[in-house]
Amino acid sequence: MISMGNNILEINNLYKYFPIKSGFFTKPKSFVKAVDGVSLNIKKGEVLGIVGESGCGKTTLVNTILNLESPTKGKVVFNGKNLFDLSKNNLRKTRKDIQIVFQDPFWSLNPRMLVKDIISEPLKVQTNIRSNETLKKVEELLEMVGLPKESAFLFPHEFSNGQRQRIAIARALSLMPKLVVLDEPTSSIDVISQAQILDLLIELKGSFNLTYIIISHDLSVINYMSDKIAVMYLGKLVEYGDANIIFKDPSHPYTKALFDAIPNLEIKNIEDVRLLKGNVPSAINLPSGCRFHERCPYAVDKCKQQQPELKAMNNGIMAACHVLNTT
Amino acid sequence: MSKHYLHIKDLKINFRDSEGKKEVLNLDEIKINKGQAFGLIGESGTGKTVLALTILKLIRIPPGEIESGEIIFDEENLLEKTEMEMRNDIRGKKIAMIFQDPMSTLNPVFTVGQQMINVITQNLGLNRKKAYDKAIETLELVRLPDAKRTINKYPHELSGGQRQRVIIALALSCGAELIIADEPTRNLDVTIQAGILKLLKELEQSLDITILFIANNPELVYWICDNVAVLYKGTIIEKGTTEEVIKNPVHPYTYALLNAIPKDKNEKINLQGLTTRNVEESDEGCIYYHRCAKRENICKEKLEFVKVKGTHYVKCWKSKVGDING
Repeated sequence: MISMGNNILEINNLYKYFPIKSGFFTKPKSFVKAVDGVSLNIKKGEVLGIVGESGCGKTTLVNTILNLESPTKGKVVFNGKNLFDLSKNNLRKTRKDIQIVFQDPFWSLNPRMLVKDIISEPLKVQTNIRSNETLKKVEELLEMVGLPKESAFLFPHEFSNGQRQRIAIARALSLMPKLVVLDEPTSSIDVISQAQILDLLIELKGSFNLTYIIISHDLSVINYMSDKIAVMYLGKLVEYGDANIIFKDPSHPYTKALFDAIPNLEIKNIEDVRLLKGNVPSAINLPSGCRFHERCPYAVDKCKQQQPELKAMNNGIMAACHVLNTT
Repeated sequence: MSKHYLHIKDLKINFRDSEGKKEVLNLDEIKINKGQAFGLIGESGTGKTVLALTILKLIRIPPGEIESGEIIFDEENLLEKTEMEMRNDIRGKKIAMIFQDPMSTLNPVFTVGQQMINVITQNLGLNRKKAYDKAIETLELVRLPDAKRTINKYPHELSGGQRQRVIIALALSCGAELIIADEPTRNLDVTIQAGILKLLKELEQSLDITILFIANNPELVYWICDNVAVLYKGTIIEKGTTEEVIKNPVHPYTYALLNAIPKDKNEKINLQGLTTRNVEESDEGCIYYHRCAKRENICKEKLEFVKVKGTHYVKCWKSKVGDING
């Protein structure tokens, strides 16, 4: 599609199906199609935002990219290497360059470890750092994320949620990775801490030349952070392209619906907010044709029969919709 | 006697631990009229949930302690009621609460129906058959599709939004007229969030219930509430109609809260110097003194509410001096 050039990560037709079995030896009856043919590119220094309702496969997508789940099919090329072809040893070395910050820092930090041990663990695993140097390094990292040095000898429960997320960020950055995956980094913290964490992330990105993949269901966060957005619906991309264009003028009806639901001060009365009808269908029995057609206000007959492909639109972004392509 | 439906006066709540007494709430006054939606905003740790729990007398004493104050609900002081009276007459029947996390408020080993029927038979004294009908009726009221099937499902079989609807149904099932919603849409997707808020607003109007809505995002409050109070460290620092407070905030803290929501990539979030938290407060003066970017010497002196316009009041020295947010 797009030449390798300065792409740090290329995802090519990635599939991840989870089999549903009725017995141990029987063949799987059906599959949960969590990620169903996704292709994405990320340039060095870029921020890719992935949006979608819960259950659309955002987290499975990044878990598969990080090789935490083995893919059903497809290729992920990071820095010129296909992550799924690497030997165990090489994969471990490559993982140094890719780190992740999880959703809820309460669960991602071991409650029995001191902050200094939490932050220095990746260093101990991946580098030959000497034990007398670790504390100095930990203190540096803590100061970098805006926590006092003394935090090194405290336990995670002694911090607020926002501070805990800072610890998780310090741990992710301890190996100076090239790519950081942020899986809903601010969904469990309040608006003020959220603003501070987002600004910290932007600042760190500038000073260490990082590349981010950020997942969130909160569009205001995605809008603030991303250069490029991928909107996912039931395992497929429905819209993908430059963040500024999509935010100004979303094309796909699903993206439009997501935008309509953001709280804003322009609409005084909640009754004026337009809502999608129905729920996200199950990922096992997918609707025929366009996966969104049952909830789409613009659906035509073609949508029920044929699956739309991602096509380039006039304004340079990609969208998968029959209605848009005909007009 | 007050003519307001819920009237909280001079409420002071402290928590004691090994280090001594900590003041958690120090409210002058909250008045909520019947059939109104009242919003309470503030960041985490400002005492929003403590207030909600105190109204239902669910805070544990000790370590909690109610130093002074009155909570007058429907012309009765809730703080003077005994535990038995609270359980038999108030909780569930008159005041119900919707908690933050629907996964941990529903019991995972019972079906939706078992939990609802249990609550209804306990509170209303109906037999199981009638309680079942009542449960179906309330599930339909909260727009759960296919109520007869949903009632036999376990909480893990429902999505986050459906679970929260079940919680709302539980709250409504015994005829509660005051619903305390403590961040009911936290951790929900934007689309589901909008649906839940829409439902709450519709119920408020069709059933004439009163809602105390707690949130950290002022924009949600703007969507459904008529009046709002901004809480900081257990004290109300700004109050008034939602339209006034959210559109024309006066207090620097309200301003910061509104600004904290990221809007545009090209526009940096301006928190007005709001960085540190948990700093020791000055005894007399403005409670926000240490975090305020616009503090001056006058802010160390004792201050009262200042009227901005109509029912819009603010606790800020500088608002007396002039328009502070330009």
